[in-house]
Amino acid sequence: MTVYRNAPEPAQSAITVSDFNFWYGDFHALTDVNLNIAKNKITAFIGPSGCGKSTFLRCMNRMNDLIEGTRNEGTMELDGANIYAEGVDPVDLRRRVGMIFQQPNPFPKSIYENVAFGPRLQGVTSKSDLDDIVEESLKRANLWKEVSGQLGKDGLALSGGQQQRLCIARVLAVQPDVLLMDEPCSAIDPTSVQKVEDLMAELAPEMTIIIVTHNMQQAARISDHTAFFLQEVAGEPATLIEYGETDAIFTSPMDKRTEDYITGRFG
Amino acid sequence: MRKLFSSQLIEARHEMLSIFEAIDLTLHDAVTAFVTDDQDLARRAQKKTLKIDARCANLEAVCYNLIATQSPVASDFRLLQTIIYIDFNMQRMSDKVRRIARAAKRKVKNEIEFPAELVELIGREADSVYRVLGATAGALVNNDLAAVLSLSDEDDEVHGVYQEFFRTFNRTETMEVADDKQMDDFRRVIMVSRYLDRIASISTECAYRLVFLLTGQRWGADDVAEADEEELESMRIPSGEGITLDPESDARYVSHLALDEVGEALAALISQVDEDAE
Repeated sequence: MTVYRNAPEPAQSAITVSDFNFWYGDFHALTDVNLNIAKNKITAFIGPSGCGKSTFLRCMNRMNDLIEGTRNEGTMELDGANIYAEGVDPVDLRRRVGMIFQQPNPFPKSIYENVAFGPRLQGVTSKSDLDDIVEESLKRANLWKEVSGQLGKDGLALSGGQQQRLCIARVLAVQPDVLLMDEPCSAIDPTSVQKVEDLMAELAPEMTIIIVTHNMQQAARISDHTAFFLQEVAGEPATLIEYGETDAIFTSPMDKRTEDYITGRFG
Repeated sequence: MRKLFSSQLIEARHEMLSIFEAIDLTLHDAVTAFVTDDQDLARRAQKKTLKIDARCANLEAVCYNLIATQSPVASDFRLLQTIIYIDFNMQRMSDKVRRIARAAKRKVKNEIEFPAELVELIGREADSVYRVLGATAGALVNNDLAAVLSLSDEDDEVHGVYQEFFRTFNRTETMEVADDKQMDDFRRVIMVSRYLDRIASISTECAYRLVFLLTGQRWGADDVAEADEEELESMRIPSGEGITLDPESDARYVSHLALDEVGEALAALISQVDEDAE
């Protein structure tokens, strides 16, 4: 039974999830998840390793489709349309729902080509249009000032924090509605973490952001809503335990398991 | 690290209770000094309040250090917020106790003739205040929300005696006052009743903070006045180690309080502490 604390209503939501279950082959990984992700807000998924939060995140842009034997039940809607409905193109979905991973993964190409890659796939061919997109995306990712004079430089030659912001710029270049971030700050230094968090705050007013994090302070600092997932028994499916406004979750959690996890007493 | 943090939270909670006990005992001394014209006892009580202030300052520093170094959340954070709030209010109470001790000294030193009827009322008012402090200690030790509900009645009782004191004072024949200084001394002495009234109110505010600690709701006196026990109990949320500490263990830190002033539940715990000590 999930506890909800002023959780977003469907009308305010970019993503609505109902009775969602997920399996890796025979293993029932997630059970009966119901939640609405607020539009143009930051939502944090927290929970111990193996609690299904990254699995759930990857369901939101059908990244799990790439893993053989996975299946799901229930519904997951983006702006009212079921993303698992027949006829939905996962590639088009992933343009609308971009993703940032734990390890920065720029292509072994120049900074410019990294950012221009997506728009080119979408058919943008004009050099001046691509220049504008690259500049705009790097500016939104707070990277333009650092790399504007060296756009031909290999993306892999940047620092870890810069690489992560380059990946964010690459996602922003295709103008997604939703940005999924799977532990985006776990492999970068504290200064870069601060820059990525500032960037998230700047993007949120016009973009729905969902972040998986093991850093409680980060979740408390940056998110508007927090969802706590837990797999209570090994081999049993994980589920959503408590979901609602971050302030409420971190000051007065209603479920003992949430209390114990966020105060660091298990997990 | 969490084990260390848990033990630090528990230590802070124990220190809070121990300071609360010290305030109660020092208030007894200050009032006794006032009623019996014991200048030495008044001096000792005044010195004790300075030690209490130093302990409060140290406890505040400990709490802020824990916030800065441990990034507490949930019940840990609520507990630290509660301790800081109560710590601040204990400093206010300590200040009032010190003023009572000073008034006791001044009364003797300046040979202020205080009508016996008014001295008796101060004694009665103090007895009521001791019961408020005892009930507050009982609520804090037992995490007892029901006890919080009854505190406003206890506080009203104190306020009733306070009002009676000033009504009686107004009926008293005007005293011979030689000069402004003597008038000022006299005014400070009669303020003892007001200080006692404030100590009871501040103690009640400390107890009300228990509602926040145990439910996460920031309720004031008006909210508590309109609540019933069932409603408050239904609002309880999970507690961490700092809050769910064994009341029997907590009772050791208020074990010098008078048994007839603390309510049955805490009196039983304190008696058990005494038996264990023997």
